[in-house]
Amino acid sequence: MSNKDEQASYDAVIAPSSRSVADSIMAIEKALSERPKLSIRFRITMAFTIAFLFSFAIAISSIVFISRLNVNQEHLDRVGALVFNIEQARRHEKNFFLYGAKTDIFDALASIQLATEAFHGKAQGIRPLVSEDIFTQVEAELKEYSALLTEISHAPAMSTAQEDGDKGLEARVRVAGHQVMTHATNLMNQAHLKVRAMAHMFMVAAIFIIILNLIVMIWVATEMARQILQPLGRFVGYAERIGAGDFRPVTPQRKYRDEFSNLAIAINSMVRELLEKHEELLQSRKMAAVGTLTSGIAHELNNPLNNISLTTETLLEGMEDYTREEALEMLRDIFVQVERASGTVKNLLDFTRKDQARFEPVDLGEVVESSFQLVENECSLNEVETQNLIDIGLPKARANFRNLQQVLLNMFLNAIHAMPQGGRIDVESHLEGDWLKMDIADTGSGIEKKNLERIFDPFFTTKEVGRGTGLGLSVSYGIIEKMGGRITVASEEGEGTTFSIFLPVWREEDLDHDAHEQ
Amino acid sequence: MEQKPLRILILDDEPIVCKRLQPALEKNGYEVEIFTSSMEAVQRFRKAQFDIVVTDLKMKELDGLQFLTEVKDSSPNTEVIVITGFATMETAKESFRKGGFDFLSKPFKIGEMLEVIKRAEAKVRQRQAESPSREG
Repeated sequence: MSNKDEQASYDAVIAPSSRSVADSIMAIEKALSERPKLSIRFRITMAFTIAFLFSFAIAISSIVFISRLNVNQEHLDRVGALVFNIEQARRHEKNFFLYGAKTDIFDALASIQLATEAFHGKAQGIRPLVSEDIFTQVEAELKEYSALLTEISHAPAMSTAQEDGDKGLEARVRVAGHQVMTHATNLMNQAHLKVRAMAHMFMVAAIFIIILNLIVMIWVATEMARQILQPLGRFVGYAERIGAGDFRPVTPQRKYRDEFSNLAIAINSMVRELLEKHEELLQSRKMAAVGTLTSGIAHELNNPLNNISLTTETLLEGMEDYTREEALEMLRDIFVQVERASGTVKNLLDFTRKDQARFEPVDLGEVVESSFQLVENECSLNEVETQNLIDIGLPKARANFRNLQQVLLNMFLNAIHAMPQGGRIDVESHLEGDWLKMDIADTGSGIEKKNLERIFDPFFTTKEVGRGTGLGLSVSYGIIEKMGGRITVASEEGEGTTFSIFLPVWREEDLDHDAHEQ
Repeated sequence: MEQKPLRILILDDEPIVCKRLQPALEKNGYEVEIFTSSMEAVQRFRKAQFDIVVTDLKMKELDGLQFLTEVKDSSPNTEVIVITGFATMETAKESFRKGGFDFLSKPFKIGEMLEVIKRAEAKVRQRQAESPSREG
């Protein structure tokens, strides 16, 4: 890996610049849009269509089944009529054998005729329900019984017949009548049982379908919930993460493109916007800080300019009045004052320069000293004494010099505003394991307890309208968080406030490690 | 009769201002004392009489306006000229309200300073002429 590559990748890992984030957002957006489309709307529609078709099928089959039961009931009635008419015939037959009246035989024949009509008519509908044997049997016996009755009706008068040994015919009629009666009753009972069994089966099927339906519905509901709630939960996580200042884009998690993919694309473009706004905010905070420092800067520039002007004028007025040594000293004064003025300008330009924040080993003593220089005039004007107590041998911090300077400057200005009667700002350092802790203590008015937990919130300010934007500390917090550190605050009303900045110690492998990760 | 030279006190925490103004003013016949610390200047002022005071505004310890008040309280006839690296209307008004003679913003020319001092001198001389009894 060339040195240049290493540098570039290093940038991307540590502080995602808006450009690299924008690139990765574009790539993710492409990935999100290119997956096969299977929208949630489509899936819900499918699920409901299937559920509807299922219910529809159940309803239709119920209707068919019930109508079939109805038809069978009608057929059963016909079979009932068949049995009734056979019974009637037998009653007439019995009367004939008891009393010998010919009319009874004709009545019996008429009943059998009705029975036969019933059997060949509607009662045929029962045929699929009962065994074929019994059906043909009944048919045959009905024919036989009818034939025997006809035979008797043609025979001579009963009285002679009885004596003529017609006992044989009578017995045959009786037997045939009994048989047809028995088998017809069997047929009817069989059909009854069959219909009852059908009704029972229908009931069992209905219960089974209810259970099946329940299972299917539960499955569809849980599956839908899983497919919608799970990504919703994920997106809540993303929103929280982004809200906390982690501007990594949302990456694809599913095989298909659905409404959540569109949401992911929208969130990513929001992240891009937020990132841009965040950088604008940082820059505007810097400019605002510079605005606060205007009087100090003017003073810092006008003093050396005045010195240069006075010294030059002195030399111009009467070079010959001074010895060579004196003249040289004046020229040296001018030179030093020019350095002083350009140093101020350079410091200011460095501070306001808009550049990508990279991590570097930062000497805390150095950054505190340069920040103190920026507020030097504010301090002297407000009679605030400053003291840099950072240990000389302290390891370097993994941070960004200019951003850290911005944070310190903001804290110093806050401290100065909290000490209108003057006071002091002390900066101390502690090494705590892998962390460097920097305490910035002032002797100002302190922060009220109720405000203490809100001071890092954006737009929270206790300054009067127009004096503070309420963004300084929240921006500071964001900057330190981006460096992997944190800020804590302790304050005693009337005693002063101590801000503690925790930063990770710079390790040699920080550079290697970041390069390897790529 | 040759007039007694006026005594001028210069206070600025920028040593170069003092170093350049002192010879320039002495060349014009003034007695000049220079200070870069306001506390030392206050102590000296309490002991000695000065006709004109030139003071910077922004300084550690006592600032220019406080020194102006101090001077005017103990010696109302002393004229005070205020110089500053960053002039605003507020500071200018404030210094006039407290009795400052004039207000000069940095960077200024030695000639400008001389001209202001000449005007202050005229005022001091006039006052001395009006009440000669005060003269020692």
